[in-house]
Amino acid sequence: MRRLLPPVMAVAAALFVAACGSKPAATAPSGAPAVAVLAPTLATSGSSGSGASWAIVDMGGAASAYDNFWELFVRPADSPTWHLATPTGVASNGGLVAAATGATSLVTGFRPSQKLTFSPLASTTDAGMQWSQSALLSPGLGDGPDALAGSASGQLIALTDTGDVETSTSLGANWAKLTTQRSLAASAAGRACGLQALAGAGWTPAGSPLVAGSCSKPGMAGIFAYSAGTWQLIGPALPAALSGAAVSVLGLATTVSTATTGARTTAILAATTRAGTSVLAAWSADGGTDWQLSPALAAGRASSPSVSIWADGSAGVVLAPASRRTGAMIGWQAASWQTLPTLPAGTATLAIGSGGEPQALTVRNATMTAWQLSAGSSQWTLVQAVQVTIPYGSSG
Amino acid sequence: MPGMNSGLSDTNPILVAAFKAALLHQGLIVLALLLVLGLAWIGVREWLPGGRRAGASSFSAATLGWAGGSAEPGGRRLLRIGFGLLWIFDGILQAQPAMAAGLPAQVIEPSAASSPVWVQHVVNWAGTSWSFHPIQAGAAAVWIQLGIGAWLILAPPGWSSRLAGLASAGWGLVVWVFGEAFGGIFAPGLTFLFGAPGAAAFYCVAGLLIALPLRHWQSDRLGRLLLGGLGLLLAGMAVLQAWPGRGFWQGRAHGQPGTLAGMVTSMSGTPQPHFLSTLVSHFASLDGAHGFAVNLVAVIALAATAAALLSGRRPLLRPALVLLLAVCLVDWILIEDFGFFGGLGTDPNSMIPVALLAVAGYLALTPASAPALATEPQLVPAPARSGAMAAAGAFAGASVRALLALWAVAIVVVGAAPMAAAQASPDASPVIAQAIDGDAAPLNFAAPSFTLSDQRGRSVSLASLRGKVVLLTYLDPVCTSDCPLIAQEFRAADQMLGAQAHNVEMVAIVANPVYRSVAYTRTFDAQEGLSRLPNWLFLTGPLSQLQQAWKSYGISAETLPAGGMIAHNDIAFVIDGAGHIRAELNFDPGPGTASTQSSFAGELVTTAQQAMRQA
Repeated sequence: MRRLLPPVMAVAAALFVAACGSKPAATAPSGAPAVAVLAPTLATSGSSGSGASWAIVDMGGAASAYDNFWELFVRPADSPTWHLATPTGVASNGGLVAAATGATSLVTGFRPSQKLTFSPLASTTDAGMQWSQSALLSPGLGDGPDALAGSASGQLIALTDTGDVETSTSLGANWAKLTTQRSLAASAAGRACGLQALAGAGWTPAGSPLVAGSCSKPGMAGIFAYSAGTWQLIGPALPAALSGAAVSVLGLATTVSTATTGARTTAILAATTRAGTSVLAAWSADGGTDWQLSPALAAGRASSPSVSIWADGSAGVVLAPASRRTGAMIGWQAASWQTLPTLPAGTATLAIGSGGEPQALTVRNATMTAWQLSAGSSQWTLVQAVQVTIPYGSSG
Repeated sequence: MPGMNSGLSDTNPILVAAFKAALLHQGLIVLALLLVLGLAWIGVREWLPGGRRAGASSFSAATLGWAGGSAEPGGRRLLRIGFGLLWIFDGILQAQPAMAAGLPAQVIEPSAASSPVWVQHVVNWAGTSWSFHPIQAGAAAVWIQLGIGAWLILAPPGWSSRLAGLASAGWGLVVWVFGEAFGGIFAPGLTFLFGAPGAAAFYCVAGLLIALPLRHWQSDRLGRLLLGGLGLLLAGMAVLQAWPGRGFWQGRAHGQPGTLAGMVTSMSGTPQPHFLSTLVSHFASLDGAHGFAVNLVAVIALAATAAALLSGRRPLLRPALVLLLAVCLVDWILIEDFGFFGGLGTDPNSMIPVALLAVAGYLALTPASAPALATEPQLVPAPARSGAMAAAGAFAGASVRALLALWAVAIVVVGAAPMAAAQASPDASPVIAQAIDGDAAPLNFAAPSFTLSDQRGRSVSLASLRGKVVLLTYLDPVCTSDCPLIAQEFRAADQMLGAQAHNVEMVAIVANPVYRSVAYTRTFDAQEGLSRLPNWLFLTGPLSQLQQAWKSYGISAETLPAGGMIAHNDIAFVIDGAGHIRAELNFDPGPGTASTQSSFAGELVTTAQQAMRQA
């Protein structure tokens, strides 16, 4: 028996050491959906009622740390071509978020990067030719394309990376805290959905603040509206087939009223089950009382989709942009998603051309290329390549 | 300039030169100590009545102290001399030029990278302590290891030798915990083949064995225990090596080299003689192609050796020992790749220590006879005297070997004392800042004037600060890299100045032509914890006034396109109370570690104090 002791001790010690060196398996917190919610990339595009478009993409590549730079491109209303319009004076490595305010104004915010903990802001009224840089947001903007949103009347709403929701009536010169993730989660509306995290913010057509987040309760779309001092859960009801899904709000925007369309709120939702992800678009013209829901677009195992919502309430998504690229668009009141031909390699986001035709914006290191899909065509046509002087090494 | 970090290379010429100079100075002290000890010994022997008689009349074997050497058990002698030589070799390795700057970032902290957070905290504490005083720490490691090695070899059997063993065990423990992150025993991927449970752990064991009273070497019990312990270790390591899911059974997995092949491939990339890297990479290829077979051989060899050692049967021990030595040799060459190449190798890894312990254990199975042990040399007792005379008598009676052992202890002290003194200061060595940006340029001319607004909107001119030393720099309030580091260096300098801070104004002028409003300077201050610093001023103003303040001090602030940060000079000026620039400091903050920040802050304080005296 004594002779057996040493080997037994050795095995026990080895087991102990093996256990010490092992990492425990990750487990989902109790009550949370069994599948992870989707989060969109910052690469996105938008358009104004006047016909101008803007797009944000990540350029430069990952040759070394902080050699990626988020760039803003603008296509003026009367121009078929894009130009670089990234505001100067601050490093864009942490990310760039843009929001249209009113009919012609565009506000951009730089996400915190490295040791910068707040977000410098810049605004333009001439398609990025000149910028005004006197405003900022502290703490910095949250990590999502809808972390900053403008209203038709020029107000701003921002989601910070600490979970605060702030509003400004002065293009960001002064901010007032509207709520926090914690207090919203503790409200009746927050408890009704089991609010877990905030994803973005926006405005209703009437100018009431909107906040989007993810719910722990399956099948619930976490869209909240603030009215008369209280928060209401106004997210659209999903089809019964998706009642068990984890729902993410990928995009939320309210488009301004134009000559042809009235103002409405557009939301892009992702409903994820073990079987995969479905993407849905939802529109509301009355601040979320009634929603019109699109058919579901099967997105498979999508990750980090790019979502764009344009001035007429139409939307485009790029799914799984890192591997097999699938793009789809849907127009206001359309009966179904229009699946686009296989996207060009390196497609970062979809945008709208001067004639309203879909464009795919691709990025390869320092070159942004715009590809266009003409009506009736199944082939993407190269329309423009923009070479950018990436300031490599400037943020190291 | 932001984006142009110079970093702190381990081959930085200023650090390397300072390290060599420290080694040279301490080496001269070590030699001087030998001379002083020798002269004192001879002098005391000549001066003290009966001093020669207290020892021996000439440099006989007894006087030299090696006369009774044959009485020491073979196993103990092997450990003492073997590990003594290892320590000396390790000490020489520590003297490599890259060690002072490279050890914390490239050896100490990576060793804990895959260990639990608490291990990383422990190890990073040591790494940070080293990086605050890299020259003193690097030199201390050299002399402590050389001293312990010499002490082990030279100390005559008896309390001095046992004390050397304890010192060896103690330093080995320090190296094992802080330098080897507990030998990686808390990290995944632990394998005997790559040195687990850490070479220094074997140094500790050997040191403790040397520290045992000699009576423990008089029976075969110590040998049995040592071999049994080794068997236990090897059995555990065999189980770990055979454990499925750890990647050792696969030569390649998912298109990548398996665990062992990956480790060996990485070792083969270490700078070393070409034939060695070829040999090691060939073995990596062999393991990549036949990973299962290689691991099977390793598991069988470890398990068979363990079983034989644990059995305690004499007929099995000799072949087990031969097998273990063969495994150690093959592993040391083909897998551990000798362990000491590349400029930052600190020791020849674990196989030599394992082999020494195994052979010592085997030799201890045949214990020295008690009468032989009784003849071991002792210090000749001095005639009954008191106080200083007794001490002098004992010193005069010491053998040459004992004298050299005393010198070895002095070597340890020569290394440890400057490090201990440096550690008493919370501030990093100034050589770090000098290594990054060079020395401050002493100047003496009138500082150009400026009038701008501070973060509270108040007008501030240079003339309004007359009577105080002004530490002036240029910062971009939306900078993501260098400027926050420089601000922290100014903040740390203010703390270091203590009461003298009342005589100093810390002034920054905005170096961004675009983001320059007071809202930005205020937010920057809040971000950097500067809002409540009473002598901190972050000045801005209309672009024309800012441009004047840049131009007059030779500052450029270039706007880069496409999301680039403003490129501006990282510089600091020291202006005395009379308004004269007394120093210009290149102030690129380098990697921005705690030690570099502390060092730059110290440099600011030193130059500010000089300016106070000059005014």
